[in-house]
Amino acid sequence: MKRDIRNSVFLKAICYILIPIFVIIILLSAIYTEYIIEYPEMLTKSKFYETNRFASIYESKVNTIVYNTNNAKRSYTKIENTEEEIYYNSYNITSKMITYLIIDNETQEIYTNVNITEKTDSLTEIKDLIINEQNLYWNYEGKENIVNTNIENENLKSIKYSQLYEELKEGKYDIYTCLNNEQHEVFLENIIFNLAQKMKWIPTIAIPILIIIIIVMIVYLCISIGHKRGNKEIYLNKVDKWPIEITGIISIILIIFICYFASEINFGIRLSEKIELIVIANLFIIFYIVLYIILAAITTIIIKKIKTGTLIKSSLLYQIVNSILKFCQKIYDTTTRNIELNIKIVLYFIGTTLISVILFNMEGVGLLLLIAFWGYILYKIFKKIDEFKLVKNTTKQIYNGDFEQKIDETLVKGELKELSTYINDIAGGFSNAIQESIKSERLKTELITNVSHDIKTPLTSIINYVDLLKQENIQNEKAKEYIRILDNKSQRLKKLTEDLIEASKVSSGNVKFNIEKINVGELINQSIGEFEDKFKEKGLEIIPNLPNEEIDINADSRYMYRIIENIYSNISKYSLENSRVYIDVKLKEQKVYISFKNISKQKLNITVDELMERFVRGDKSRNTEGSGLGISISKSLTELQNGKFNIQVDGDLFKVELIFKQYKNKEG
Amino acid sequence: MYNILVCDDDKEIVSAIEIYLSKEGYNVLKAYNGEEVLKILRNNSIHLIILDIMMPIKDGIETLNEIRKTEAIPVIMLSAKSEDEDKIRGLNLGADDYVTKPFNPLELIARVNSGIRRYTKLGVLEDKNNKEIFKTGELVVNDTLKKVTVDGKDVKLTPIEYNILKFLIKNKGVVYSIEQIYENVWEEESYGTENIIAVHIRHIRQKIEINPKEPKYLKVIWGIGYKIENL
Repeated sequence: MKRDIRNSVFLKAICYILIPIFVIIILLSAIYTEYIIEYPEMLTKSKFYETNRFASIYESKVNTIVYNTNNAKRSYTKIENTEEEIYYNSYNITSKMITYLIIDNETQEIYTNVNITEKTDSLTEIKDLIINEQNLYWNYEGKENIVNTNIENENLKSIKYSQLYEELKEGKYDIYTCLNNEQHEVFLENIIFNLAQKMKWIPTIAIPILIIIIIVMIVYLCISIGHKRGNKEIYLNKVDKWPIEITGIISIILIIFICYFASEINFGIRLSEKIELIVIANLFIIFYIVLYIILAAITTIIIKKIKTGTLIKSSLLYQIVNSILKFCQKIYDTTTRNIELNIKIVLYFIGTTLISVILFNMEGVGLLLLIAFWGYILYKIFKKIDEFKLVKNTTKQIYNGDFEQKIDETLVKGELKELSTYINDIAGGFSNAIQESIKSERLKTELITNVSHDIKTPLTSIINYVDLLKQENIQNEKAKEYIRILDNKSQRLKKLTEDLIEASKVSSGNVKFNIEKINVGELINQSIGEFEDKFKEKGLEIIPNLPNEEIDINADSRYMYRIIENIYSNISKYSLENSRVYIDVKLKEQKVYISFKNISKQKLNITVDELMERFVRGDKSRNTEGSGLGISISKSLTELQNGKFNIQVDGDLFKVELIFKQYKNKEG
Repeated sequence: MYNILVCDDDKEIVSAIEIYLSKEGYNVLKAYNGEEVLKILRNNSIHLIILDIMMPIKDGIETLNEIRKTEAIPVIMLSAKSEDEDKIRGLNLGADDYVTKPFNPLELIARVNSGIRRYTKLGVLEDKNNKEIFKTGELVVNDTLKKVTVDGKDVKLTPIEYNILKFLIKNKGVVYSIEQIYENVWEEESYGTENIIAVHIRHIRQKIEINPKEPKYLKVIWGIGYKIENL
């Protein structure tokens, strides 16, 4: 078989994984391109620290530090036991990026965020402490003097501080600062700058190639989505079958939730600089992946729906609109179907309204006429209702089985008259059919009985002469064997005709019962006694399980024995030799259950229903004794005495169950 | 030599019956319809009649009616109709016995023998005062001799069977359940041996009845018990 590329799960998985990776590469490249447009110095400068961007960040930071120090000197604490007046504040969050030392030239007070110990007492030592460990520093001493900057940045060197405070301009403060390289704002920009430096080639080459690959992959996915190995049709799972509105709303909610969460986190980062950069990066990657999965899933579902043509049909909107349309169609149909009658009704309606309005406007006599007119209309309506009632009641009588009933057609008019004719015809047909069927059933029973009687006379001769032949002294062994067969078969024919008469009588319900109180235990014991020999012949062991108390039922004793006789004869014929037969009598909720269980000799390859049918025997063959009518006769006899006759076949276990109502003394 | 009149519209059946009865030593006269029966009756001394019901010209029932106007001889009805109503009607009209077709030849002979015996031995002195003799119909149980006879023929029973039969015939017409029979015959409480009694009863029936399936003396009332019919 040709392998269909559309069925490859591996290929699809690759596409699903590669698409987001390529997209993020393209996205980064795009950001980079935008970055270059915004910062053209990227192309000229080789280091971030040399850029104007860095200079402006640095400048604004220094600005903020000086502003905060000038306005909130109280937030600094004085350090004791030093020669100079040193004030320290480690909580200045915005200045974490920069380590600083500010000297107030008027008061000679020193403000810093460096934790100075007692030992470092001279100002020079403190200055060194700041500068020494870092190579990125920038100092400012006095009026408009820029000194000692170690950073190769022309912009930074030439900061004029035109926008700085007067105090600074006038040389109120000497400032010594040093860049704390690990602070994220600068660090991140530095990384991006370095990355961008290294990947200058990407936008020009990678983007077009990646876009082409992505398009190819998307096209492949569009074609292959929904195809599954072994399925010719587009495969739809449970979620795919939901209306598009539901999947759409769910994914929109998810996307909104993700975006909200991401913006919250972004906001949190701005508040606190303590969160690790790597954690943030991971969080955003997770958001990106989740977002991608949602988008991919919804797109896949939509594509599948389009492919199977169920996108619109399964949508809620379509279904709602469709059911509205169908409803309208129904209304339209009912109005147009009986157009004649409906026009009639509308005309009547308009007519009566018109006449009423005219009469109403005539006043005086008109009003009297109006009352008379409406009285007449009401009379007409009541009469129609009466006619309808007549038709309905007669139809109900016919429905209840009285097919001799007829609707008197002279009492009804118009449409109802037509309806009455139809109903009368149907009733007549039914009546005939039932009489025919009763007649034919009776004829059938009579025919069977008569034919059986007619068979009996010649059969008598056959049996008698076969018996006479047996008494003749015949030496021929073959002839003897033939006579034995004749004897056997004629006896069987005799049994068959007898059963046939009984079965036809019983099944037509043509039996008179002499119902009396019967002791079930006694009946079972008597019947076992009668069949003891036959059971012994086959080595069957009878295990009766009778309750200790006396259980009585209401039945005809002779027919009860007939039922049990048939069951026993069945058991003795079809039981496995040397097996056991269980007879249980139980009383449950005022019902008497008599069950007979035996193991079948042959495989029971027919259903219980077939067993119940006349002329069917366990093995479906007809070469053993018996007529096959026994079970059917027993069932009919049981049911005619308001009992139940059940057969259960469980493997080789054959179970007959008789259920009768318990006998109840009328006095108690 | 007893004369037996056999009447059936089926000639072969009549011939067959003739063969059987001749073997038993009866003289057989044949008729093929009711009219012939009446004609033969007028001219011959007949001891028993076997009469088919469904016959042309004059049917069995009509013929039986005619016979009973003048004769008291035993009549065995023969019919393909096995329904109870037919049997009852026949017996009510004065038939002594009823055999359904197809019949067992041996049964028919037994019934003929029984009929002849009853007819010919009618009026034989009975010792009605003897309390040791129980009798119903032609079934006699002589407790002094421990002997059972049916239609004058000896029947051999085992002691248990004899005791059961004696108990039932002593109280003829009364129905006894298996338990009651056990308790009265064994004179101890019964426990779980119920269907042994049923087996004994069946054996007794096979010995004293012409057709054990349709017993005349020892009747089975299913689901109630057993009784000896009071005839």
